[in-house]
Amino acid sequence: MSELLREFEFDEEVERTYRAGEAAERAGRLREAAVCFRVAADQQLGDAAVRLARVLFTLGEATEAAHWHRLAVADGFAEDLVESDVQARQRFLEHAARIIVGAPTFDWLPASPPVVRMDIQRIQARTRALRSLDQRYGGMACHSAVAKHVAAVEPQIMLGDAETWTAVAEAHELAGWTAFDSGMPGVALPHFERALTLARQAEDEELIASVLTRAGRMFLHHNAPEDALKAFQLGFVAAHNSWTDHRTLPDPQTAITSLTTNIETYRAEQVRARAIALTALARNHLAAGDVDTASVFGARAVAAAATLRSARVDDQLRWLAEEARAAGASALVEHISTRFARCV
Amino acid sequence: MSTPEPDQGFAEFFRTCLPVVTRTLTALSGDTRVVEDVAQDALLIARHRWGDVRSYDKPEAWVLKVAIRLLRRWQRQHRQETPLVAVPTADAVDRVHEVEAVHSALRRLSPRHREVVALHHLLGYPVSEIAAVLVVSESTVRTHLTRGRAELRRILGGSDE
Repeated sequence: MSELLREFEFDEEVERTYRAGEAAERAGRLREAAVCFRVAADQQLGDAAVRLARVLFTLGEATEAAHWHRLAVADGFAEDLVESDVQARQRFLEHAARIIVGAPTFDWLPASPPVVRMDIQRIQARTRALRSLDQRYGGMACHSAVAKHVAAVEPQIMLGDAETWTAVAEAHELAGWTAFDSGMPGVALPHFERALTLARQAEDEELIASVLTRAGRMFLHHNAPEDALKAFQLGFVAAHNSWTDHRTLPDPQTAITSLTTNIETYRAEQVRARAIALTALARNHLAAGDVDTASVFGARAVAAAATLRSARVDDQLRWLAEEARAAGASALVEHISTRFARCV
Repeated sequence: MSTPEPDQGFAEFFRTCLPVVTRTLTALSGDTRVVEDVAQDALLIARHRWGDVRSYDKPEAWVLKVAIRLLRRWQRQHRQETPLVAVPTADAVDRVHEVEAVHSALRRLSPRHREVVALHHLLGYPVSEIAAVLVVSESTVRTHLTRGRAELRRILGGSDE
């Protein structure tokens, strides 16, 4: 009897340790959770090995995670209860590839509905301040603050326009980056994924390129150079696409080459992206001295934007009009002015 | 160890709980001798802890948790982790009573699927309760329940549930 009770008390203590691990995991204290789950997994309690493997993959401890995952599967737990680091990267890269061709839209809902409309400049200012903290004191010093910031601003995507989506995407990008710097690559990836989706919604190619570059650097850090290369390549495509976003035109010939390729990749419903690319092509041809081709693309841009209401597109068309005027391309100037005559 | 407080309803609980625990463990392991020992040990512990246990929402679920833990320990120690029993012939299945056929089919499930399906279908426990008894997450219970049921349907020849 006493032996039976002694074992019982021990088992109860192991279960309490498991529950402490659960609480720590919920609170985001993953290292503490791993310590607790390791005890419970070693005692073969419930699904502790599954949960330990999951936490360890999130922490980037792939070798130990794989060990516990093997034991869990041998114990009869379904293999796919745990996503390995390799699978997580694979899923991220598939998502990124869809982003590049312009596919995904939101596939999640914020934890709570938006209460009030927040001032975008305040969101951006807070993200910038947190980024400075990260640069000076490291990701561990500010990751939880960044995560709270993201949670607070994310509901705004329900109300928002492209500018809001970009602001929230930047917050997610920083959350991913600080998670990585805190040794939690598995926490970083979902943030990077959302940053990409939001940046795509906002058609912000530069931000897409930036997120992919950061993800690639993280993969390199975790010794996955092949996956890093894929992320960099996708980021390179996005960076090329981002030629459309430039106010100044530093290198018209390169921009023309890259824009001409990319213009063919937009689907019919990507009206804004196409209009912006056509405008950028017109501007770059103009900058390269080819007024005729610039006029053709300018006209196509105006036609493409006929049903579009976008401040970003209007800005770009105005820049084109200013530049056309300076170059003496009066037909093009007139063509663009008809849009604004109609739009007011 | 102090002797627990006399009874306070334990005898009645024992009478209703023992058959439930025994029946459930039998679905998990075919070894009736071990099942009886384990069920009694679990209730012995319950008696020792009766002061706390009787105030629980569902003392029976607590006893089952302890019993399943004991059974698994015994199986580990005797290197007999819940065997997948040999597939009986169709004739054999036809001859036995329907309940026994279900039990026999249950024991052909992999051990983790078997536990979840047994608690759900023999005792009608909801997912949250199964998770608490087996000390696993609810998502694990749902995954294993879906797959265990599919496996069971296949074994029982395509009928639902």
